[in-house]
Amino acid sequence: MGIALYTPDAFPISDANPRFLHGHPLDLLLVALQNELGVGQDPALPPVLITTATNKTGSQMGLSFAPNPAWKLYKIGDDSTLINPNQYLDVQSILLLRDTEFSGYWFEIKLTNPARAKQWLEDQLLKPLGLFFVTRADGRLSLKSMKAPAVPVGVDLTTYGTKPWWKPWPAAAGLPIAAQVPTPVLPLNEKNILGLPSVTRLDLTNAVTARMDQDDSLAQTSARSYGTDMTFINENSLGAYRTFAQHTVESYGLKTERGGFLIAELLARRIFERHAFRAPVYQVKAQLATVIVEVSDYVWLTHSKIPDLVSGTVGVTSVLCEVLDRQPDYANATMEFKLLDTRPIEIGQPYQVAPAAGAIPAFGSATAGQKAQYMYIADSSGLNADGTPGNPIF
Amino acid sequence: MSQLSFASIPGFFDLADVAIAAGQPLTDDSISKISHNAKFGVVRAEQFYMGFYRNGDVVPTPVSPVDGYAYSRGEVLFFLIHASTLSPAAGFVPGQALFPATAPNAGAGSILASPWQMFIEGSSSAGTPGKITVWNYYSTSGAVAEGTVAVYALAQRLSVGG
Repeated sequence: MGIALYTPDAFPISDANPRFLHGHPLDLLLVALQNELGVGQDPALPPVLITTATNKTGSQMGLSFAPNPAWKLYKIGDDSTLINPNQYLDVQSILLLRDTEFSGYWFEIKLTNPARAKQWLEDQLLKPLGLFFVTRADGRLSLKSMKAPAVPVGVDLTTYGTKPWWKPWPAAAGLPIAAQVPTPVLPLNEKNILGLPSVTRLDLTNAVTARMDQDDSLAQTSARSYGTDMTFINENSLGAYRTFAQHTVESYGLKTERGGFLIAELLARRIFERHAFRAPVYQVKAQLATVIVEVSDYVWLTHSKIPDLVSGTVGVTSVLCEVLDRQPDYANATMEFKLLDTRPIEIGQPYQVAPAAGAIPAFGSATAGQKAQYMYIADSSGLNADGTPGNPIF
Repeated sequence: MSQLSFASIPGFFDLADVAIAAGQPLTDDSISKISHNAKFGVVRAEQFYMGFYRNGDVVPTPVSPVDGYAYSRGEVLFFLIHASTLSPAAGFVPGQALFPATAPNAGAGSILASPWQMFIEGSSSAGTPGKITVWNYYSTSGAVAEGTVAVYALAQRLSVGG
């Protein structure tokens, strides 16, 4: 893997005092938030003001702040040194992302310029991963991935029933089962929606350029060039819209030998899922009772008067939507939501790796529940032995 | 036989076992990482013939013919083979694949040691990393910069031994 590095000292970053950051980007995020910015530290222990003698040279002159020695410092690789739970940060979900979807990522950064923490963390660590900060209802910062969350460990997938959960849910089946999402959801329909929702589309992006392998031999971070540029283009979108809409991601930490190509490709894939064909976004005003819905939650949208831009008809039924934004209006007891239609994203059902100890039989002998829960190897045409479509990779 | 080639440069992911353990959803990112790890394992160590060099030449770092990966100097160990006591004649191009025509002796007297010194500066050299030194020692004129070496490289990605 490599040796994690995080080399703070009491002096500002400069070309004479570079900062080396090596590690998983989400570990670097956690260490920056906890050790540098003091997120979750005891408020009675403020950062320490450092004064230095004026006979020092370069960056070592003047005033600066250093972490309070009494702070609990996160040592990368030792999760017990994390402040967890943290009343300002959803540490658990960040660790889950680090150990699952983003397992094995490794960034190496040499900084010679001070940076504004939040902007830098978002641009350099989160954006290349397709992550962004969201604020939970309890005020904690959390991360939202562009990929839909997989089923948490221990959830019985057989409870999903025989129908794919992302398809319109039949009213006769009752409320959809929300087991695949980590926070509570609820259906939004004409019983709790106020007025007529409107529908727009996401901005178009059909080209993603990733720049990596920054030459850090130069002293000035801002003067460095990137050794590798790669552009991913969604040709179908380009052919359909006849417009080139590009999104660029630059990261000091991305390296080709550390999987920069794959990381960029995965990011491009996630962006194209949403933006290549401009997924519909619904703007909905609802009763205040829906205040429990948080940004990044999933809700079920049903309304007979919304134009369905996916099918070209009027009215949507139990369409799974991701909450992009929420605005409570307590004075008028309403909530406003921006909901992303996830049908163009084609979120699939997560099928599980079968345990060897479970003695799961071959497809032909498996029960319906096992077939609905585990991965089976399909034939070259993507069909199971009985002719049904194979379970896709999530 | 044709040259192995990859469409893109694979990277290494230290994929946590828990990410693909029983009961975990099998995801596209896990499968992609496994694929990249396999390709990375194929090309992590590569060997290159770098050609012929003389004293003062700087050997460049190799580029993989498989995927175009440009090695950093720290990832490469260079091996020098003394090819001639004589330096190349005029017209020599550093790194040329064929043994060059040679120039006359540059020193006076008899050669007492050849090579007297022969080494390549490493990636952490305070001088010029990759620079070749090859000298002979003559009975009359003493140390003389002279000689031709063939250079081979053992490249290993994500290493710092060179």
